Amino acid sequence: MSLKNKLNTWVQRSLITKEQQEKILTFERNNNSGFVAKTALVIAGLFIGLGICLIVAANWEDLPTLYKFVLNFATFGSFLYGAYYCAQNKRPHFKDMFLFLSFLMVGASIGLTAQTFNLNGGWSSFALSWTLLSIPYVLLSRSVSFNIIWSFLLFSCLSQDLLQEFFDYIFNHFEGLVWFVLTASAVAYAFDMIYDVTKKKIMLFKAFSKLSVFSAYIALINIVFSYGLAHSYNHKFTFLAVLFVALFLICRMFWAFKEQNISSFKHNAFLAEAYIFIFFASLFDDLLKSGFGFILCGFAILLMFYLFKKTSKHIQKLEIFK
Amino acid sequence: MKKSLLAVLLVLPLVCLLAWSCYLSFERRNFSEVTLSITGYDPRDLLSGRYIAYQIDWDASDCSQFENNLCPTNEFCKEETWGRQCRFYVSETKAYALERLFARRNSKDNVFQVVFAYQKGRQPIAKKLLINGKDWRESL
Repeated sequence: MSLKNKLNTWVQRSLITKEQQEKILTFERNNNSGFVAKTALVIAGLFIGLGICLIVAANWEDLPTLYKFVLNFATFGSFLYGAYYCAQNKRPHFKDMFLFLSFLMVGASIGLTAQTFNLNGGWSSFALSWTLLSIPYVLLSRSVSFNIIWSFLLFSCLSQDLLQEFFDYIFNHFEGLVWFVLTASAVAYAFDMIYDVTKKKIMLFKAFSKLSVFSAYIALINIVFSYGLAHSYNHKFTFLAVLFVALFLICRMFWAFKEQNISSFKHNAFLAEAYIFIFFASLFDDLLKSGFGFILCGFAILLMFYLFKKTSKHIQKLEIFK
Repeated sequence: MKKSLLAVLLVLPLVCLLAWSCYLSFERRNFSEVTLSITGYDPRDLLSGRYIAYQIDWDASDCSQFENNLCPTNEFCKEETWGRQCRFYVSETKAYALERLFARRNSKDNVFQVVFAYQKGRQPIAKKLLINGKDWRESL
């Protein structure tokens, strides 16, 4: 339930007065950077971390192995110090970003070691060691997105044949889909209950719950997609898909602008920015260039976040948002 | 949460990874070297970067490098176990040229070999890729 709906319910039940509702809403409008900040920092972290992973993957030959290791572990150490510093100084958003970066650095470090010593354990071993080694980071983080990404990695360790059989059954049988959606909903509810029982301290349960809901949602979409659009998958369709998302975000921003809903406007503006960055990042060429490109995008988002924090009060004073 | 516990939780994975790479580095330095011919190679591209996947050609390899002149075929390129030695990672910038060289492998102009750090009963570690006895970069 959104804050506005909650407040309406409270006013109806005479828990708070109309004036108090207005005061709370005004206060929240001026302090609603939580979601934007969290998302901005997670996306920035994702870009920087992926950039580092890609540079590692590029097997940069000009750099001696020892330097690569020193650089890798020094970067890793600096992210850990960042997480520690932010945890001590009560800066939860930045702490989550640094924990997420540390999680990606675990993957990059395993990749670098595998590359240097020509190891091959296959994806399952790689993903399993990555998830196991990053358990402390996921438990310390309060970010649901990070927990969901970690859960994806954990599930990717499962046997590919088993997963293939499982998805084949779900997507090719109507009863399989119904069974899956019902089970996923029940699992989501169960994890939500566990999350409440643990006093909302372990975000992993929340992540599992959300993941179950997403899975059910994706399963339903996939059925619609496979029946309706399966035959139109080509370049034209890709272009239309990009156009569709862009138009969707523009319409949402226009609607928020019309409704003078600054919160919705900011969320959608941020999603649009992230979408543009991802779109441009996907146009980069090889691993090394893409790596640097991703890191630049990450820093650009951090810069935007900083500028947004500095100017948001002035933005809110603009006529359209009064 | 206590400061010390937080610090330990944060640093533990880094220490594990550092210890693992140091251990592998120690093994690579101290094991004796064996050179084996390879075949069935093919450049691939995965998340860890570009690498070639190969099988060892035991018929073309010199077994006198091993104890009792017997090739320990079951110790190399094990399937489905951690540390399988069937990959050799190459730089992205040189991968394409190497791919073209591999495409001509059937002409028998080039002999491909991998030098391993080897000790009986332990996982061998691939150290170098040789083409006609020279480092692979020299042949590109």
